[in-house]
Amino acid sequence: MRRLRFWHRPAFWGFVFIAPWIVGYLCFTVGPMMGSLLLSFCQYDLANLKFAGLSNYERLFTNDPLFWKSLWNTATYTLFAVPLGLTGSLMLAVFLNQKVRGLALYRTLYYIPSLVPAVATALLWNYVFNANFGILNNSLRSAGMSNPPQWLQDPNWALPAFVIMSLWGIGGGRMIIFLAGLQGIPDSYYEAADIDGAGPLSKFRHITLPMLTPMIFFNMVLGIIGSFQVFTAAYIMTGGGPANATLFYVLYLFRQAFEEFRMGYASAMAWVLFVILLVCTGIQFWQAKKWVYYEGEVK
Amino acid sequence: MKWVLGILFAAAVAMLVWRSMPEPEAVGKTTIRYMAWGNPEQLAAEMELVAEFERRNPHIRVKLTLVPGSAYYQKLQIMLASGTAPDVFRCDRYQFPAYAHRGYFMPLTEFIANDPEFRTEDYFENTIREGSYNGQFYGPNVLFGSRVIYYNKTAFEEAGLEDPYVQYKRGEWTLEQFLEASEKLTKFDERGVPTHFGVVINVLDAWTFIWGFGGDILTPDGSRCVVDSPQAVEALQFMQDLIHKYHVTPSAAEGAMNAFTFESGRVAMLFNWAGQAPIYRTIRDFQWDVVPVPACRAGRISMIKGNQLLMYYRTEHPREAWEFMKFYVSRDGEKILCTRLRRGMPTRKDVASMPEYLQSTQPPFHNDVWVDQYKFGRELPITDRWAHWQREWNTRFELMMLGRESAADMARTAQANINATLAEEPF
Repeated sequence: MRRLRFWHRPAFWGFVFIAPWIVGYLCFTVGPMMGSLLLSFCQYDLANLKFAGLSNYERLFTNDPLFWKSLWNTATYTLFAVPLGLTGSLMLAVFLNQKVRGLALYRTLYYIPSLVPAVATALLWNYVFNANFGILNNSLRSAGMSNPPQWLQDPNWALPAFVIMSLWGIGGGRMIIFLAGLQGIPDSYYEAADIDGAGPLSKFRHITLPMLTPMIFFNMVLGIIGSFQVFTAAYIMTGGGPANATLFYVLYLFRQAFEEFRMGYASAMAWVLFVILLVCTGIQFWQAKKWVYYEGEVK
Repeated sequence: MKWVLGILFAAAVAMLVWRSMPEPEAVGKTTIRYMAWGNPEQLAAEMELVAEFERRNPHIRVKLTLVPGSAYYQKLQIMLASGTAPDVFRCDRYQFPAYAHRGYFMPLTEFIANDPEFRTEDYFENTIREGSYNGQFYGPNVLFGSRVIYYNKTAFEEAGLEDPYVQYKRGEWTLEQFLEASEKLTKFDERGVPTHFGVVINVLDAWTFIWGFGGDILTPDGSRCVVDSPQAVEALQFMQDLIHKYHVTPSAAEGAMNAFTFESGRVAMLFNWAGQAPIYRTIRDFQWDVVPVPACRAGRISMIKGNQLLMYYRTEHPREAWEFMKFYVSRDGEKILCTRLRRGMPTRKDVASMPEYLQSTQPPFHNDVWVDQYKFGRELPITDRWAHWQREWNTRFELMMLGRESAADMARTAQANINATLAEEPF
């Protein structure tokens, strides 16, 4: 067969059509990433660039208590916020999957909070958590608690406050994915279970949950990545305080880069975070084989 | 359809041609760019100064860029790094040494030597010192200010307390008077919830108290932390006691979300910068004025600090830029800023002694308080390493004010950690 000229090959036109994306990806994602990798081996304050070898990484691991503090804060936050958020979204999705009157209204209502801009949400929660006149402490006081926590002003309670606040987002995209997953479960499974005499709980345990595992897995992977990047709320509400109790990893990185202008050091931090997330995600994919079921998959 | 596209294309071309043409009024003029930040009142002041300068120098046009304060240094830093910085810009003293260290500014020593109109002896010495770095003069001081106490005159009268300004004039405005007033002016409701506080302070005021008690935070050259001294610990203890022993200052939780502001009348005395005065002029519910910080055991020392007006080292119009900078701090420039708009403290000795500066028709009326700051004011030992040790200091101070750490522990830990930071090579 005669060789086709390259512009006659279908693949060529495929690449032409996705070229805007490829060019954008190379210029604005891969390029800067490689730039930051190189910078992470340098000292750069935007005025002077100096090769520094591995010293940024060395300092991070051996001589920067705030690096460990911010990593600890972020990991603790993730450990609580992700499971709580997943459970919350799942429960909400199950609730919104019932056949009740005004369902569309409820779905809209629960979705609305995730449409509020992050800055507005942070300001709103600032009021909720106010130790003296906040709605949370007012409720706690009327429930008989004489000395409720001082939330954002107490180094021990500020991080839990952020975990509580993260529940604000349970009605968002995650819930929609669960809802779609729930609606994809064939009724015939539940009918078969009814005939076998299964109750609602065992139906949930043996049909709903296994059928939802791909969505749980997906939401968990994205949830952990997102939670390691938590920034806006802490930047606005506490600035990392009190006493660094809410100094999250990305907030510390931002400060190194844009307040103290240590671009090399901040780049090194960014790459450490990248590796942490890569390992976390790798472990999850490896573990997924044991608990995630795909329809039609042969085990 | 085609004719629509045609019109759109023609419009786009016309736009481009129009944008690339010089503005008619700018023909034959040199345009310099000037960047600053500020609230709306400051914006108005900058515009007025620029307009007056342009009126007097018809051959120069000043293009003013105002950037929100929160984004100012990010923008400035990026402009400096990318070589697109304006010819003249304002910079806070906190950042000035770090930028000067990187060589971003044009030294002005030569301009001054060749310009009989600018004489350093016309200015208060502190303001010239602040604009210098490593023996070179870089920036005239503008919006110079100091940390003073704004006090609610009406609240003092109602509590039957003597006016602190009168006490100051008699030489009796001391730490004891200050504490007594703070206690009498703090009020609680029937449930014991505070409704009014005597005094509001901030981490910055640790300088005033530590200096006043005879200690220091850093050595005068800013190279080492020396806060672990009995005098400094005593001062820090006093600040902690204002919350935890005397309860005349709101705790972090009580003060959150601006629950106690001076404007609301719920704070009798507030430590703040001179630059706040224009904002408080809108207060109608009570009378207020200013008084210096109280004299502590080792005397009365307040903190003074300004902004520097700087020239970009790669400016194409150094002469025009210098003309503008010079006008800003000239007698007429400062008269506009300090006597008419009443913003900041004059840096010129002649303006500070003008009756129209000292006698104002709107509060604050005690304008001699500003002038007195030059007698007992002290500059902060800001070096290019300032930002590097501030975080540790603020964290330790916060823990102490929360009552989680004693003043002595705080001073010891802060000194050890800050000295470790300052000893380390910048990274």
